[in-house]
Amino acid sequence: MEYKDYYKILGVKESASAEEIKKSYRKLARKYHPDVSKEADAEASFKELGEAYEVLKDPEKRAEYDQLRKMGAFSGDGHFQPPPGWESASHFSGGGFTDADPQHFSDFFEAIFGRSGTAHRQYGRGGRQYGFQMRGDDIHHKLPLFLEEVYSGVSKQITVNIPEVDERGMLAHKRKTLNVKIPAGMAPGQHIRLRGQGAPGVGGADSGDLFLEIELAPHPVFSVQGNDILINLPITPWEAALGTQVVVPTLSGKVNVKIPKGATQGQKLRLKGRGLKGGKQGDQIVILQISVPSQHSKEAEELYAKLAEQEKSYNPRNKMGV
Amino acid sequence: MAREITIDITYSFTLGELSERAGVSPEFILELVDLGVLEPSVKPTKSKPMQFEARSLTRLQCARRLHRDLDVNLPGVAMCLDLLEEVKQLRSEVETLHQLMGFNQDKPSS
Repeated sequence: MEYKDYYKILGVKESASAEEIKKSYRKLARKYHPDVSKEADAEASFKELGEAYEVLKDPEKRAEYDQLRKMGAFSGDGHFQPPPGWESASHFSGGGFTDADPQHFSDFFEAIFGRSGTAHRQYGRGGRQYGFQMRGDDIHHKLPLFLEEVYSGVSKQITVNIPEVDERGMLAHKRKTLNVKIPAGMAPGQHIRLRGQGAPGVGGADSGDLFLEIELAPHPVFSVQGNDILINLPITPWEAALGTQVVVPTLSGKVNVKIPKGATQGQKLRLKGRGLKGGKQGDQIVILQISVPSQHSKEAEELYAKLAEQEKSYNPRNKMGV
Repeated sequence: MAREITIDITYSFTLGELSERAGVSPEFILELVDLGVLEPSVKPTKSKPMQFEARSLTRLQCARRLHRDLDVNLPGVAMCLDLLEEVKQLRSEVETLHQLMGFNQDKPSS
């Protein structure tokens, strides 16, 4: 198993005072807190941090850990083996346990301090299982969907890891695949509950539920703003000048849109009722983007020269003072 | 082995259910309600208990983690949640604007 250098994880020296350890933990906890952090491995780093702090903040556990370090109970390649007959005096599993989520601690931690004390494990091992009931944990998942799927509804196969406590009181994960039918018109951020699909209960108690939070996956064509759908629509300068009819994709199929004569760059056209449902019915907003070919024929250049002559009085840069 | 599952979209929790599921005391929840972090979907009356939406559960769990892991007091938690919400909104707005401006496709030519 991998040796964990708790001092290194917390970024402190071996001689660090309790105060220094606390200070460093708090700083790093803020940096890596999964609810706040932008760091890639925030969740894993935060768990490691919690484990390191769990040991180093407690003088008894810290002393034991220091003793192990001195005994050199790990080989040079980073693999750790506790000395034969090693037993922790602090007996982590026997209670006196803090607020942290114990199931997150590593094998390394458990090899030194014993298995952590979730209710399942304590009761399982203490032979007091009789009559003990506990509802299974809820499981929360995010479910990224494409805009079209959110709009029209979709059947999705999802796989979740369900934590289960076996007969020896050990925690194991089981993969479960479910077919879920997502109805049309869900809003991003909305939750779906799958009753009884969470972790199984203990002692015949109910299973927990599985919650799915709808999330939007990025879309190549459409953007979303509230219930409105935004789309950039490229048009040519002559289409803008003369007006025309163009075909525009929407979530509910292609529609014909009239570009008014004299349209301008960035002008917005609203397609009523072509947005997302839910609360207030959204619209689709078409944003015109003037698009120019990168090369022109000689004839076209001549026409542009004529146009330049004709439109001489228009200076698009007059607000820049040039 | 995949089965078709029936789903719940509209459902709510009582104070007791919310407290059990999030692993916090009802007092903790009520304080967050006072601070405006959680809003009951059904206000309590004599015949009806207070009810919360599922969104409240996610928010409550985040509040609990911030409180527990970072030692933030509850008014601080309320502010964190507001700011996190704002950051999330701003990020998605920036993303939308970048997409609309075609930032990812075009690099400025030198």
